[in-house]
Amino acid sequence: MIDVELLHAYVDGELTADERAQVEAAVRTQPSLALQIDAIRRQKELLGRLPEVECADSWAACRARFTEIDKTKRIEGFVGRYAWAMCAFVLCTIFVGAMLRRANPNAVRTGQVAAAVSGLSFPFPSADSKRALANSQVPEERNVATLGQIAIVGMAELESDGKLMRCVKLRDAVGTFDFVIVYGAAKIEAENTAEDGYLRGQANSQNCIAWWREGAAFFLMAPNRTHEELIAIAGMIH
Amino acid sequence: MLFGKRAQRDAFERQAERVFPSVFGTALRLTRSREEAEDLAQEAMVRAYEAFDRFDGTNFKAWMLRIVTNLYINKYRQRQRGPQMGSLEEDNILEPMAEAAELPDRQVFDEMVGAEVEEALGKLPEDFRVAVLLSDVEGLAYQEIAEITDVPIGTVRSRIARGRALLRKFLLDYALMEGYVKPGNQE
Repeated sequence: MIDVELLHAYVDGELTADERAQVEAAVRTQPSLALQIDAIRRQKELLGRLPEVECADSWAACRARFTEIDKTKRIEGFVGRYAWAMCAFVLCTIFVGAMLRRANPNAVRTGQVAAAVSGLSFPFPSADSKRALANSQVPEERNVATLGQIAIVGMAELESDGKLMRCVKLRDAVGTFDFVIVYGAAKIEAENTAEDGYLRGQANSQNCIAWWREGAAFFLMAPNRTHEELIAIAGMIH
Repeated sequence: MLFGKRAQRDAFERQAERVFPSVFGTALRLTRSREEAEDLAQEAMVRAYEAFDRFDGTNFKAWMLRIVTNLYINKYRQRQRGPQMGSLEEDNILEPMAEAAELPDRQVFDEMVGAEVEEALGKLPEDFRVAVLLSDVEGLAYQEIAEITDVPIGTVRSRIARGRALLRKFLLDYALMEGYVKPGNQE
């Protein structure tokens, strides 16, 4: 009795010479085996005659995906090759942008003033001083004669970034506050100046307003004062 | 470099276009769903394209069929319905040897049309179907089928014999139903 798997392998041409001879010898003695082999062969041929499946659309979709893959690989390759160059370009762009923003050397940065004031030691501390502002060393161009309620506590001058700064510590009935004048300032570098001409913000953790007039920048800062209160004081100083 | 990539794509497309009907047909006969077959065939082509530089250059069709079959086994099989391989082979329920009296008339196979054969193929347990498909429809050798399905060559031989026997039974059922043969006159 011959193994039926041998018959299938015989039809498929998958037997060794010895196995083939064994099958052919068996077929000669058992004619039914020839029928079986013939049936296997016909069935195999039947499957081999199956028509091709229509797939043109699917192949077109495949080609489109190949194109997408190529495009992605090109981009990835470009990015991979030039990543450092692109990073350098971006950094250079940021640097150049920053330089352009600082193109006006006479502009004043608010941080510059805050930093200067925070480290300031007033040379004339006189907490008890009740001198009227009219008698103080405040520049003459300031109309201070009307500020009878505000007294000068101290004053200092310093130079920052090539500009002369005059820092005045003042006191009124509520408390002390700092008034800084930066001479020769072309403008104040800031983007949030309100329509009233005052820049509102924070400096050294205290409310601060700033404004520019006639070539000088003015900063007024005080703890526990609202921006509106500072603006009212600024109006008095004006 | 760009020219090299262009040439590589052209080389891939030339070979892929030739074997795509086989890939798609195999995908369709495995999934039995045109929509899933399109997904499967396209994914197989994309994977092949991306891995084309690792193709050893010997038998592109066998390489493609290996990709589509493995992809189906790993990704799609869990979602498939219908008979699964295992019990028929392991429990030896299916007798691969057909009795002479059960052999179909020669005329039967000539009268069968594609749709009937496809339906009978679709009823085969999956592992038998893969083996018969790769052997009889795609014309692969046992060794190639063994490599594609990752089983010993003896298992391939067994699956082909058993798959064909079962397919013959399904085809005969059709033949009886359609009147190609009459009961008791199957030889």
